[in-house]
Amino acid sequence: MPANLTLNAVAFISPQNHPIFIRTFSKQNEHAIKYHYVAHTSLDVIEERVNASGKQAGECYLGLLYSMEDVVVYGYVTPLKVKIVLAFALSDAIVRDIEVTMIFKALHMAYYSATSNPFLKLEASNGANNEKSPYPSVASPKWKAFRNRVDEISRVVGSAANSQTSYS
Amino acid sequence: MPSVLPSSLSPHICILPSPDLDQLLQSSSLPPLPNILQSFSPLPDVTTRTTSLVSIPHTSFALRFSDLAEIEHACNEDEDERAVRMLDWISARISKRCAKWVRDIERLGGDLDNPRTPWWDELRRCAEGDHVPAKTEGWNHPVAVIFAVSTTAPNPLQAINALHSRALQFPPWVDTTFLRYTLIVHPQNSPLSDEEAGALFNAVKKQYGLHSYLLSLNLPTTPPPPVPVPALIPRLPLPPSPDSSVAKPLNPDPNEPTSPTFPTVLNTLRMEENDIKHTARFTREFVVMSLVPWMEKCVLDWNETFSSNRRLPSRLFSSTRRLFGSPSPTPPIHSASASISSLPGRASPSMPSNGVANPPSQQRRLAEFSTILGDFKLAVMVWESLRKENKGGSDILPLLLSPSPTLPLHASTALSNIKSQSTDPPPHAQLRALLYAKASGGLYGRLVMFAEEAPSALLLAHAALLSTKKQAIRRAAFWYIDAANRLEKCGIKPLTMYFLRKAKELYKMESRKSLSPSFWESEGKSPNNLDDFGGIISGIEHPLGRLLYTTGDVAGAVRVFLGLLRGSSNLHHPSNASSDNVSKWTESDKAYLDDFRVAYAHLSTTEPDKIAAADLKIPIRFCVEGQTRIKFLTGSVNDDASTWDELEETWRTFWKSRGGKEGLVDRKKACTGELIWVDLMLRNPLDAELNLTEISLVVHEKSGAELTSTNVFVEVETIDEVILGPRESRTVPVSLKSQRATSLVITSATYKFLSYLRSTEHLASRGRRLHNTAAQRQKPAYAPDIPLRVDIAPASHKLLVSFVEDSHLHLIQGETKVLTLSLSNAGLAPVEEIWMVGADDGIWLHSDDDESESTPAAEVIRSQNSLKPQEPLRLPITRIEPGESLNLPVILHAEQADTHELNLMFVFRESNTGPFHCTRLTWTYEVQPLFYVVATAEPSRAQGRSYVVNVDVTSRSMSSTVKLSQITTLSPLWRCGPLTGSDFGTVPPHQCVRLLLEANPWHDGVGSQETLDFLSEQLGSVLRGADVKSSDPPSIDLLCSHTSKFPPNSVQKTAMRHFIHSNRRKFTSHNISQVHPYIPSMTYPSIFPLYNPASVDILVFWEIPMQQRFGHVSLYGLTLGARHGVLHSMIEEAESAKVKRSMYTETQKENLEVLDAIKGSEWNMEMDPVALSIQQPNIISHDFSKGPCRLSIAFNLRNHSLTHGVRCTLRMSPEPTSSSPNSSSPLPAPYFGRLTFRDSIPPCQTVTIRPKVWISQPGTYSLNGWILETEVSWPVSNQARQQRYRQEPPSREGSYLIIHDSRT
Repeated sequence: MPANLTLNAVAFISPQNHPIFIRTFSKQNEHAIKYHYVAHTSLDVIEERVNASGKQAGECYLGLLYSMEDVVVYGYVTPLKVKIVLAFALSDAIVRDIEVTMIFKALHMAYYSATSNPFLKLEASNGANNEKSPYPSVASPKWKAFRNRVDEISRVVGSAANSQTSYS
Repeated sequence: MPSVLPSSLSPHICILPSPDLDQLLQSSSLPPLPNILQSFSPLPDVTTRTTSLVSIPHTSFALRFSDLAEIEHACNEDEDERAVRMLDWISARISKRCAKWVRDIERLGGDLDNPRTPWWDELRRCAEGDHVPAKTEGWNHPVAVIFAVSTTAPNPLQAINALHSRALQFPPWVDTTFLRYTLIVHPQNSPLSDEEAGALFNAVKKQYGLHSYLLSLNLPTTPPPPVPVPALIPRLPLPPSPDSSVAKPLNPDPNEPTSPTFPTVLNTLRMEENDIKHTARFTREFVVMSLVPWMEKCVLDWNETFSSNRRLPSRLFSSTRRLFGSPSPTPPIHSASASISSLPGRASPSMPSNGVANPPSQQRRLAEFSTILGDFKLAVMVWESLRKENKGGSDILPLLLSPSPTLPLHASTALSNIKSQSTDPPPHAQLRALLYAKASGGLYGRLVMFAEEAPSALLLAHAALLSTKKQAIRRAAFWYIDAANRLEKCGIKPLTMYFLRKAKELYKMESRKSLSPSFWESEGKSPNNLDDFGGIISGIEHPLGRLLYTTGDVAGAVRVFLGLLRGSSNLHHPSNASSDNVSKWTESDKAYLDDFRVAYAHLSTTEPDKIAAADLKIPIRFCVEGQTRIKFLTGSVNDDASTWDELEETWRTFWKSRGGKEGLVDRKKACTGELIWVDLMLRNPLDAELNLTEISLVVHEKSGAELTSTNVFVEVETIDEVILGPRESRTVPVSLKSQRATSLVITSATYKFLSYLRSTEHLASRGRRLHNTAAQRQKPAYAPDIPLRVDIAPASHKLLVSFVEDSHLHLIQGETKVLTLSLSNAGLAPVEEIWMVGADDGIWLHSDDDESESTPAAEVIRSQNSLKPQEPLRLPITRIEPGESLNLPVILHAEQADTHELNLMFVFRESNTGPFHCTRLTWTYEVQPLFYVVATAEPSRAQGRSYVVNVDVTSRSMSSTVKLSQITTLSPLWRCGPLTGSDFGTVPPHQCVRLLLEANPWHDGVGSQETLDFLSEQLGSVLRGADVKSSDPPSIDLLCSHTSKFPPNSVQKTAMRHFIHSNRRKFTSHNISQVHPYIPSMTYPSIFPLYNPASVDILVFWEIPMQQRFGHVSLYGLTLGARHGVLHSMIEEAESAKVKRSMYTETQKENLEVLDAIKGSEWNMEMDPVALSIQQPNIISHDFSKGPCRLSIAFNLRNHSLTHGVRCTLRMSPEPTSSSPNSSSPLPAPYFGRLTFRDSIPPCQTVTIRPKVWISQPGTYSLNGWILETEVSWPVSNQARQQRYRQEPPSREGSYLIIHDSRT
């Protein structure tokens, strides 16, 4: 289990670089927008990485994108180009890639199962533009399951970190 | 390798001028000597040599000159204090000048490739201008001291001596290894002649060595024209209140003339050309002949020591010392590949723990000197070794090394070293690291953590600029915001705004994406959709707006605040944010709104003329265009349109069938002078309460293609104020009234946003997506917008129809109520013809005329037998003049218990030829349930009658006692009569009454067989898949048998007949739709007849005399008589027909289902027509002494078939099979004699068969030992079709014969 990681924020960004879902777990209110910045800024780095790595797809995990002030930012690109960005609190401990990858995979699965919901397009169908993207509706207030799942992942990560500290 | 080092990495030369020299220069209106000499830096073409004596040419060689006293004084100031002062000084300089810079840049426009950043230049110059020696590094420690005197001194030699012997007032940590140089300035007006001056120079040379120079200058009394020279580097002014320990009065600040107040004044020197030449020569000679050789010698010497230290033994020794407990604190081990989490270590090379400060180490000086001299090979080596010992070096190495991945690490180490001191001045290291460590992005962020000062903000801004050049625009935008946030705290507003704008520009810049163009369409988004990361844009614009407001650009602020009111997207929705930051997001809209209110109010009071010029537009919509409706007096256009459409269609069909040509004027019209309401659907997209005032509509008249104004004849209501809660949706009706008959287009709605800003929104909704051509399918194209239109008809034809009674009348199930319909002509023309459409709903005209005499007990009515709905009914009026009104009685019959809505359409016209107009009436009433009526029938055992019909009437009424007045049955083939008398009595609440009727065939009516033939033919064509001929079923006679104590109600009355038909029609249609779901309801009238000939409908008439209510309840669905599968042959034909193969299994399946449905329908019923009843004496007494009893039992066989005769065989079994001699079970009757009887029974006839029994002892005998076989045969297309049935006695009940001995 991942240890010593404090998840501050999770962001899902669509292939067109629109934010799908940005969720912050830090306590301070005023930092909510900061993670919008973080997510937006990491798009630059992700693009650099993806371009640099060339065409050999398959590796979704992009590793550490950058660190800034008190957070470290990790990136992940799904095969369908949905970007997942994680912001951890900066700490002195060693961050193992395998742990971060595990969190990313869990988030990816959460997203995957949320988009697989056949009723997602239902809501969008009443508008004039009935061929809407499913992405925003994943995070829309109506679909709580995805949000709950992301929260749960965050909770698991957080509790693992806590238990680690309490036993050590 | 960088070719040019920053000028701050140049030799620092201090000058100690004698007072007479200062005087001399002042009198010639020249600046102090350091400033004069500084004007000649950098020197071109200087050559230095490395330790290996390789020449290094320098195209420019920078020098820094400063006043020794000043430096001495500055050194005594506390470093931290100076740092704070320096930051403030830089901030002040920038904040004073940035407004102009920003103005200039905005005026000149940005050069995108190489944008001007004067603030960055300024910051860099300020930082480079730091010339005070620092404790930790040796860059600012003087390399040389020039003792300068002039020959105007009373005794120049003595003055020189005095200068040389002056004790240096440096603190102990300042390195005193420097070159001492003597300069004698010999002006023309000197009391000494040139020769004397030469002698003086020689004497000085003799005494102080060769590092001396005699500088002859003209220095005319009238200053020559100024010559422009390079600007001086700005320097931190000295501490404002010099403390008393400063021995010497300070020179006026040399920077003062060029310092912030006069930023644009060119730096000039009022010197003659010759003097300039001489001074230049001096500077050059000083550098080339004295300074550089001296430095080279130092480097050589120190290098010797350095390399000897680096030999193996000493290194071993030092490393052992380090490993095995050294007295000095072990520095943290720092590797070049340190992870981000490595702890910062503070390099403190010259700060031993005992607190006594030492000058920078020789090794460091060596590194610095070799760097200055351009011997980078040596320099790098020394710096590396310094770095490994954790004594600095990381800050310089990035400058010297060629770009490589390690550079950012060096830079970050340098920064983290600095970080541990909270208020360090931004030293050269930071700046230089920034300048050259462009490759690393993360650095900048970490750099500025500890300082919320202007310099750090500018650093960030520069980082942003560099990122922009690298196309990392998102990162750049982020840094601009960060910079702006910091600058805002320093109060440097113009630059803050500039950075915010820059950031906004970058955020809005669409980065190039390698996506297919159809990707956007497939995702349903437009590529230039900017609402992504909307929170960020808001985060930029909100401070920008506030800054604009505070700086006085209120109009701009209003525009920005208005732009912020976008309505938060899903991302900001409270439920999306975690619970603790809900408040944050919900408040943002409110904050924007409040700011807008304040700014707008301010603008409107101070500069109202600017509001018009600002062209403010609200970025959000309040009207939901697709959901805006028009409502008329008679209900909405869009409400339950299907009902009215159906009625209209009914009318059109009817009128066409009557050969009428006149059309119906479109009913979607209001009349002139009549109110119309437009239901505006307003939705507040913001998370804050707001108000809209003066809501009104813009209405245009559509004449031809263009729209014209309608102010003259259309009155539009204006709604004063509507307050919308956060995200609330509300319908606001706005009425309008037109005085002219025309076609109006309601183009838009207007309102005042927050009662400030007049805004207009279009109400036309977008047309549907077109898919007609390939181009339309590829690129979304939409039909023209659908405008909101309303036609106003002239009021000439206007009929108002209403019921005099209240709406929401409460009726009882089956009640018949007389109502009054009021027709009033509100138009200008008379009305002569009115038709009522929609009478199927149980309404009919009331007429008193046939409130007839006496009704016979049975009536025959001829029914059309058609399922066609009721045709429109012409109202019996002659003429209604304009303004007149007329009351018309109508009867309402409420058959079903429920809430009903009566929808009637009245079609009317002026004369026999004009077009029709229509008006509508909607009326609701409620019907309470009264009865459950259930009827069952069973074959009668009595001779005289065929069936006994059992009618159970259960009251559902809670309180009323209902009197049953009459039972009427309607049937084409059956006559019913009372069995128990004609007084039915009353039904108390929740009680049940059972009524018995007898039923006998009635053969006088016509139409029954024709009806069956018709049905068979039509269903046959359905099964064959042929077109169903649209023909009406043959009419049929119905016998209505009344049973009543009083003179019965007649069913001959038109209203009554109408209600009976209408209800029967509903029942039959419903039945058909249940049984034959595949047959479209349109074709029912041409396939199915209304009455099944076998059916018996029962009407129960009731009265509640107390309440003067009366009515009747109908019961349908009872059929009597045996039938013989009339559709059988047709079905067989269909089944045996050649099967058409269909491609689809589903079609075949459906065909089968149609067939099954017809086979199983009530029309195709088939049953044993013969009913057997035993007529026996119940108890017989017999004297068994006279022998066994011989009895003949009468078996009555009744043929219930109305059409077919039967042949039947009754077999008596002498010994019943079930001979379980149980004492309780009756004995089987022993039949004897003839046991098999054959007979044929004509339709509706009875035959009695009398088998005999031989009973030898008393007892109870069961007569069940019989079997009846029936055979029905009838000809079907030249063949005889036969059907056989077998009947056995019912197992449960049976007939018994009880015989007892008469003797007992």
